[in-house]
Amino acid sequence: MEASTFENPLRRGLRLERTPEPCTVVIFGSSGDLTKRKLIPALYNLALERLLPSGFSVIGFARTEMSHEAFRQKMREAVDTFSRTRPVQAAAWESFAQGLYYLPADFRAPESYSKLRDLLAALDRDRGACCNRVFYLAVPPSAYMEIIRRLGSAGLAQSGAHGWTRIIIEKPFGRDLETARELNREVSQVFREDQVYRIDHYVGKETVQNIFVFRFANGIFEPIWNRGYIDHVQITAAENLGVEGRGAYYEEAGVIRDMIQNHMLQLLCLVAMEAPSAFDADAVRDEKVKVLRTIRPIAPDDVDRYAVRGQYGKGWLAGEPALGYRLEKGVKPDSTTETYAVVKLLIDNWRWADVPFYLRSGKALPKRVTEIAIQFKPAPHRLFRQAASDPLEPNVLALRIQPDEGISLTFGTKLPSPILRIRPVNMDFRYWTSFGSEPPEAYERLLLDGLLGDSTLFARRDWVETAWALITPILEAWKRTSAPEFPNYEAGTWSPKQADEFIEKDGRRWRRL
Amino acid sequence: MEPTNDVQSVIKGKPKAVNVSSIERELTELWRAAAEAAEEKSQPAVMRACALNLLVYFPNDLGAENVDDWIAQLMEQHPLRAIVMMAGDPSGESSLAAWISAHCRRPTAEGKQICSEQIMLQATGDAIHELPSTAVSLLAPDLPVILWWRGDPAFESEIFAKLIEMSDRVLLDSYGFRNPEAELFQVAKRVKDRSVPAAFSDLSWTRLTPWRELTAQFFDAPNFRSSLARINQVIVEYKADDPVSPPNPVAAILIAAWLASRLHWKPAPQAYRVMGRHRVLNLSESGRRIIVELRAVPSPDGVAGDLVSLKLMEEGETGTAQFSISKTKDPRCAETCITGTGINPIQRTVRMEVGSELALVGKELEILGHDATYEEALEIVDWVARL
Repeated sequence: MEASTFENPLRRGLRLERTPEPCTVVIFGSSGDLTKRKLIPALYNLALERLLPSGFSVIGFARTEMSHEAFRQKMREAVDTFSRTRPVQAAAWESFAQGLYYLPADFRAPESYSKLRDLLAALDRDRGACCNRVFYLAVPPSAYMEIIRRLGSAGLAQSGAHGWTRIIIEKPFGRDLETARELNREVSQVFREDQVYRIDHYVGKETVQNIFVFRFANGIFEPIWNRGYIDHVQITAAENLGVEGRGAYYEEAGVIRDMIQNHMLQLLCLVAMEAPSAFDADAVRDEKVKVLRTIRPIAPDDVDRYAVRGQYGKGWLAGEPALGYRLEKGVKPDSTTETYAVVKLLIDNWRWADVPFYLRSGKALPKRVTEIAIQFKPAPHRLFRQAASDPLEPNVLALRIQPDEGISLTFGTKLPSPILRIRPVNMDFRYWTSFGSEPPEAYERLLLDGLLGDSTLFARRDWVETAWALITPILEAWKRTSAPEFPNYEAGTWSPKQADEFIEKDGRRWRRL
Repeated sequence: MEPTNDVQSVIKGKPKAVNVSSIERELTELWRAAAEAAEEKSQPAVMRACALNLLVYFPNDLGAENVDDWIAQLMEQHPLRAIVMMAGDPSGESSLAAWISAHCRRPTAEGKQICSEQIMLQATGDAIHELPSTAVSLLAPDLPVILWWRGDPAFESEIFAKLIEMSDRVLLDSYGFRNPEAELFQVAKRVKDRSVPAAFSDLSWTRLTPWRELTAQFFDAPNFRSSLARINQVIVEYKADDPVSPPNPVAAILIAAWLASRLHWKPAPQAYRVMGRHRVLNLSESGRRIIVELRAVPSPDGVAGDLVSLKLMEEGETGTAQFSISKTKDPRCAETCITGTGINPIQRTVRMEVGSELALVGKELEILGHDATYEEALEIVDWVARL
């Protein structure tokens, strides 16, 4: 049958403009946690929602010896345990599972890729996958380059005349600017940039996508979304857990690499970017990169003026005694890895000049909360005499990412009494008060976009490198200089005192969350 | 249900009889009392939420007995102000009675209770004509108004006209019409004439969404898309178990009309023939003839009128291709299949739960404007009806 290029006229008015073309997803690292907790449950839910095409297949690629049937059984258990839709629907699962295959193979061995090519060809023939493939790297970053090179050598990276090939790479995209560039160079020798999808699951969250809608689908905020009205922005990602057995990983990462370089800079971009000319992948990503490029670089010698680090010691979390970071499994007893950081960024452009963006993130804090708080400037003239004990609170627009997702605006109002007293009150929007339905998992949205070839929510090479260029000097400076006296905050408290002093020097204070 | 005056009972869904002229005041008082009670008992606060107005009209008392449960379930997904109107005996004494109640839920264990309001209006005699004007005064301002009309569309009725006038969207269910085919043609005519500004919506159309999605999905694959220009036969089977009573072909007609409108098939001479319990649509496009058969067949699951299978066939000199969707033994699933010359059969089972009437209404409440695809399908229905 000949291929057709005209649009599918039956799609109009349906939820999606199209569903993905028949394709095969190859998951490298299919015996790992990500596959069973996130990827397969997400794909199953897409199938359940009728969003996957006929002929859709998955090949699990990992070293463990296992039959196709055993892989299917294992994945069924995973869906039973981790899917947001449970229990598994037998008939729908059976049909989905028919498309699950397993290839026991070593990613270092060239012959593994010949076997993979043969299996892909068989699926193209038997299931009508049309030569469309997605390679998903759900492996430790140390394996990325080898797999990418081998895919290239085996001729599996090129899109054929009748199909397409894409690769989805999990974060972290490098450890610093140099390693990110090296990874990107390797990737670009095998894949074109339009084939590469760098996934950051944070961006797939409904509430993160809503920042974009909030800003660009409402006319009332744009006129005040600038230095004329905004005093500063606080972006917080707090976790109320320690490293939870992931000490060895965390020792290599730290909060800057784990949270700030990726998730939090993505949030900053969504708040600070200009409206794109269109809602398409390159227009949106161009604007995000422009924001990063206008952030004032931090010179290594200047890091103390722009960043603070911390590490938790023993304390209490949710009423339970908690170990200090240095006592966690896999952590060196004299570790200098930061579990808390604050970074102040200044955006040197017309809209944001002199408006600091404070990014703070930490582990073992009192609450799990991620939010963006936009604090507005005070009224230009103090008309009301407020008692010194009752200072006027600033207007704050808080975009709550998780939990308790929503948006609130704080403003002053008169306390009902014969005396003039002003109290801050909240005008609240909470997702669950307006929408009862459960949102899809971030991975569902991102996988579907990857299958559809929509890279809007994926990080582009220039974004990744620009983000690392901003952050690397901080990492280097901290590596060179001795750490403050760690630990410098107790588990279950909000921050080291240095972080409070840091913002107080600017005449501001952290939001109480 | 026995009316109550206890605040706690009212916010748990028990109705409180109120004077029609003081409904708003009673509601305000209810929330004040509920907030105070929560504060006194250190219980989670009560939050009144409303994202739209839902008018529900029962032309008679039939089917109204479960309305409280329906509204409570809809409010789980859509915080709204429900104004339920029940028309009793038109020849009875003129009376208009009102009750208020609330439905609350707590999305998180520690969080606030989210509550939505329900106002019930019951009228008999001449007071039935006052229902629309009473309802209009009770609408939450600046929010969309959706009318769920329970029964045949009464285009000649003054009450229907007034309620439509105040609504952004009107929900009907042609499955429930006494003469579904004829009433569907009426709806198609009114929508095509644009004689009413409100957007119309039919739950029979909503039931077709998974069928339309699966049909479209066949042709998302570029190598099958060109088949769309060669389809010359369509067979739609729909459930009709009782061989005596007339079948309900509205869903079958709507899916055929959808295909015709999207693929630019035009009604040919003798476009619509009723052949016993079956219907045949005779369509054409650029000289190609397309025969659409709507077959009434028995089926173990579902309700009368539900689609059982859909086949799109292409038979030509170069070969054949068939794209089919059929309900499976598991009523929650369907099987899709592609067969044809030079094609390895592609078969799979997918979830195909249409959902209860209430779930369909919930889906429709997500849409606020006109559904252009539905209206274009209705144009074909109207065209066929006039031939």
